[in-house]
Amino acid sequence: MYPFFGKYQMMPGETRIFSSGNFSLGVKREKEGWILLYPDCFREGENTNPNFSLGEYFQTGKSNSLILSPALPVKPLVFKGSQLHVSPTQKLTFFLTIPITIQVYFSKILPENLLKELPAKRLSDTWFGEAFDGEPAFSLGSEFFRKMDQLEIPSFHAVCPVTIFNNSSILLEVERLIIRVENMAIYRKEEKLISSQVAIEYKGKEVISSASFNYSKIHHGEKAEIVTRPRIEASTNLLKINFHFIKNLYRQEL
Amino acid sequence: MNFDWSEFFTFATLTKTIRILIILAVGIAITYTIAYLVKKVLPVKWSRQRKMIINRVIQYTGFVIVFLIIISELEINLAPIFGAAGIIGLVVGVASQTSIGNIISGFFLISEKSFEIGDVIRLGDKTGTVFSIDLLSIKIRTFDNLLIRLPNQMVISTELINLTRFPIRRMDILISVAYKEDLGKVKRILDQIARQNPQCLDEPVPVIIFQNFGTSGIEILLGIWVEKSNFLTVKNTVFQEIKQAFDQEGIEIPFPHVSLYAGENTQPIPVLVKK
Repeated sequence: MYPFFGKYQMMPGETRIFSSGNFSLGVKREKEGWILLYPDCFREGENTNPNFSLGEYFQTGKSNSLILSPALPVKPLVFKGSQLHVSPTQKLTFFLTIPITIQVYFSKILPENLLKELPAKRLSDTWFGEAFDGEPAFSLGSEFFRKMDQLEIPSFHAVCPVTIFNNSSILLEVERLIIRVENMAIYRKEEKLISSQVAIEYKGKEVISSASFNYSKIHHGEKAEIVTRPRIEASTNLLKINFHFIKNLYRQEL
Repeated sequence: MNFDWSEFFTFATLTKTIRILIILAVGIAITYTIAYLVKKVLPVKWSRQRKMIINRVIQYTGFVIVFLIIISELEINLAPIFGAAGIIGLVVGVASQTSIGNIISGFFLISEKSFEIGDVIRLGDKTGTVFSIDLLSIKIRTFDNLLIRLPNQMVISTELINLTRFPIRRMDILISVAYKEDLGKVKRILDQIARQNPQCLDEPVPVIIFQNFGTSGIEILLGIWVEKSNFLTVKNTVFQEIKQAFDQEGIEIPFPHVSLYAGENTQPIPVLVKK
């Protein structure tokens, strides 16, 4: 499915174009470094002989190894779940597709060896929470799937299983839900990339909910291979604001 | 007037002078070292302003201690000085009322926390990044790299706008379109521009308000929310995108003009061409 993720050996002077769907990445190995040519430098139909003088140079040393690895976006994602309702004591599971980013490393996968991180798709910026104390995020839109087999996964996307348990006494109308991708890993199940399962317990509008990010045998299978570790491994269970309910910002102004 | 310098430059006064100079040098060095070490051990997450205040408190305390040591070294009896403090205080107070006003205003500014070092503020017609908050004044660095000193008293008595207090800002763009234009179409185009620019925040949602029937056209306010760090980039790209979209769609951005009527509503002004 993603033929170009993996480890490559390239000798000085060698060039290579990694291409899939609308995404193209040019790589040239120099004597002690790498030139990367980003997708916006490629013109349509010019994938065979790109102009590497437009690329960015990285001095890295003598290692001839290059690693391309998938990762989840750098900011949390906001899901607009305006059509989702969960009654008290009910549990809802649904699936989202998350656009991934491509990380380019030399030698080994270590934070200091990261050359570049390129999003396969530029998501729109958004804001989760109030205008005075929220947090920056990317907008994920409102599309969701009730079953995994309904999913047609676009290229460079990972599946994200989400479970919401309404542990309050009132109906939960999901308006905005934040997916904290920085705490999530990516697993490979057959040809699919599946992120950690997001399990959220809703306790009421004014109460902080708990979110955990787990490996789930139901969704990931018995022995799924971990492809990418979470950016923040500090905790798998977070007590944070996970839901936001929209207020009319302009009510007083107009 | 004859002053016998030889009486003053005795071995005893020389020793005392050297001792005072050593106290002064060592005292200042110790004060700065303590301030530096404390600055180093303060938590990283503390704001620069908080760190600077602690630094200044250490420095001023150190200077006062050094001053008192030197006074005692000079064997100056402080009792008469303190006795005369009332009169001196009155004189100093009258002479330096602006400075004292600035110092007191400085305390209010710090306790009020309406801005911190690194914030971008607007004060009257001056806009810049807060560079330092000092005893008598605050200093701001303008975007063309000038340093402006603003007395604390002035800052406290003037309306101050903190442009970067909150993480996101609404960027208001006032656009004018000709009266003949289809306002529904204009609204759709503006909405599309806001939604297609990835740096314009999806939420809070962009706002489009028909503001005025202006003298030359209909004025529309486009309010787009952006992260404060992207403000200038988005401003430039959105301006370009509006101009480009209006050009493509043939929407006229009117320049100020005046319509003249020659008495009858639809008749043109009669023009006589002489050969």
